[in-house]
Amino acid sequence: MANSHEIAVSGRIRLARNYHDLPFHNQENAATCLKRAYDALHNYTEDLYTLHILNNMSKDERLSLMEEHLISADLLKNAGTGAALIRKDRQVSIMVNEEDHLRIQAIEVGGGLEHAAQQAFQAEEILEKVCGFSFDPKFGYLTSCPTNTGTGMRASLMLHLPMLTRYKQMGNVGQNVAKLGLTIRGIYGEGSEALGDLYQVSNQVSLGRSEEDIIQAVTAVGKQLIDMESGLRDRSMKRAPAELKDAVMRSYGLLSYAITMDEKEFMQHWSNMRLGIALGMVPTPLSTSDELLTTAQNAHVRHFAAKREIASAREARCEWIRECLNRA
Amino acid sequence: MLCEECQMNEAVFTVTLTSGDGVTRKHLCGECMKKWEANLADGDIHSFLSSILSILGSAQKTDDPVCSGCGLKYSAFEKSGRLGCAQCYHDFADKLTPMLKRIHGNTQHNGRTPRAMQTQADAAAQAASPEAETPAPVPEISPVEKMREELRKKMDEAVACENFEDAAKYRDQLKALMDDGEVQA
Repeated sequence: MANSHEIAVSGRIRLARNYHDLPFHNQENAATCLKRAYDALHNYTEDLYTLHILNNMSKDERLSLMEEHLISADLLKNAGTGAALIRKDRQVSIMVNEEDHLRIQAIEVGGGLEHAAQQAFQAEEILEKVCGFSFDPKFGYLTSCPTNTGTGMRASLMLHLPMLTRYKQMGNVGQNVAKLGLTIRGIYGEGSEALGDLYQVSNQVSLGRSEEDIIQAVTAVGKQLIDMESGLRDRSMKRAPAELKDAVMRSYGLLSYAITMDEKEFMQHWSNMRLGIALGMVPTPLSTSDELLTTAQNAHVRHFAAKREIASAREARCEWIRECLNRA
Repeated sequence: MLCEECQMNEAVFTVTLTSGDGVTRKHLCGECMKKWEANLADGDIHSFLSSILSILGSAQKTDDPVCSGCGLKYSAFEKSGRLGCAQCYHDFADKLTPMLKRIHGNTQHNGRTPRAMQTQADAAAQAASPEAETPAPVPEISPVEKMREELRKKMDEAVACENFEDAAKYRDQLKALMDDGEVQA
């Protein structure tokens, strides 16, 4: 059986919060929200957080933060007033002036949602010191969109499920997960296509359940998916090891020697390589493959291309991948 | 007044309909009233129902509550899916509560409470615990704390009765008291 971190890439907790004395989303109050959040983190954490004001950043700098999952697409849409306070270890980020005043987010490599929740609540307590949040004894934390009301919490696990995808099991999984008040969707790509065989399982219900219950439900479903994926991997290794190894090593070969590659092709080979690492076929650490998942995306490679004066981003992507694989 | 159906003749009849959304009145001329009655007499239930629904429909269109906190219309929320402020939850409670039930299968929060509320609850629990009855010095309850306690009780009762308007009023008063307390501290 595979270790869970070989399938669970990361876990994420997101809390939606609004200051009790301000309208939820208002251009006029955007500066007040940012000042409060900045003051709280500046005064109580000895500058553990760095301020990123989207308006002062280039488009690619903003996109790079999104590729790291530190900010959301919705914050990019509000680039005029949006900002992010990012903890120096990049595990916690606070988006300011997104759909709600604050979106507190903690990411944990390998999935541990409990630890991510601890980190998020720690940040919440600090932010609360400057001004309290909008709360109602019946409805819980009040958010701009009623889909987040209650705990304001979204707990999600990013899972790498290449075998479940290959055996076309994801449709069934989606239906069963929905019955539990959870949802599963591809992280990259549009519609039914899930680039890199990466999925996010998260709670849809945020009102009426405690934070612990939500985390437990997402973790339980995540574990079930991990067991299913792991079982299929074991079965394929027993039944058709040559075919599986061939697919993995072809992808590893292309990632090691190709000269140009677009993002879509990269994601396909990345998925095979990560599977190969988990199965002990490819001599690269999982951490390197997971680092590439962020750093070989478009905005990151455009930045790398500019730094190295490489003509195209596709060429820069291949050079960067080679550097990472050789370093490992 | 002109007939609301044909918009041509003077209205001489008033039809009153009572539904879950309240009472709706429609003013009709003699001719349109006859058509209505004929529909009923013919047993043309579909025409009759569509007439009623058109009246109720026009009533629903005008039933567009506005939030007293931020001025957001409920119809604007339906379009954008975004509420404007905390008060929207109370002013739109009649419509939002069934919506929250549909989304979450529940309408009662069951998770964490803000720290400020936690400490109050802890203090109340401690005061209510048997240990607090031992001859240890009993903390003197300030008049402000008494008022807070009363407001809290009233707010809980109002919430239990789903009387959200009153609950919001008590919550705001409580908040104002708490804010003052913090400033003094």
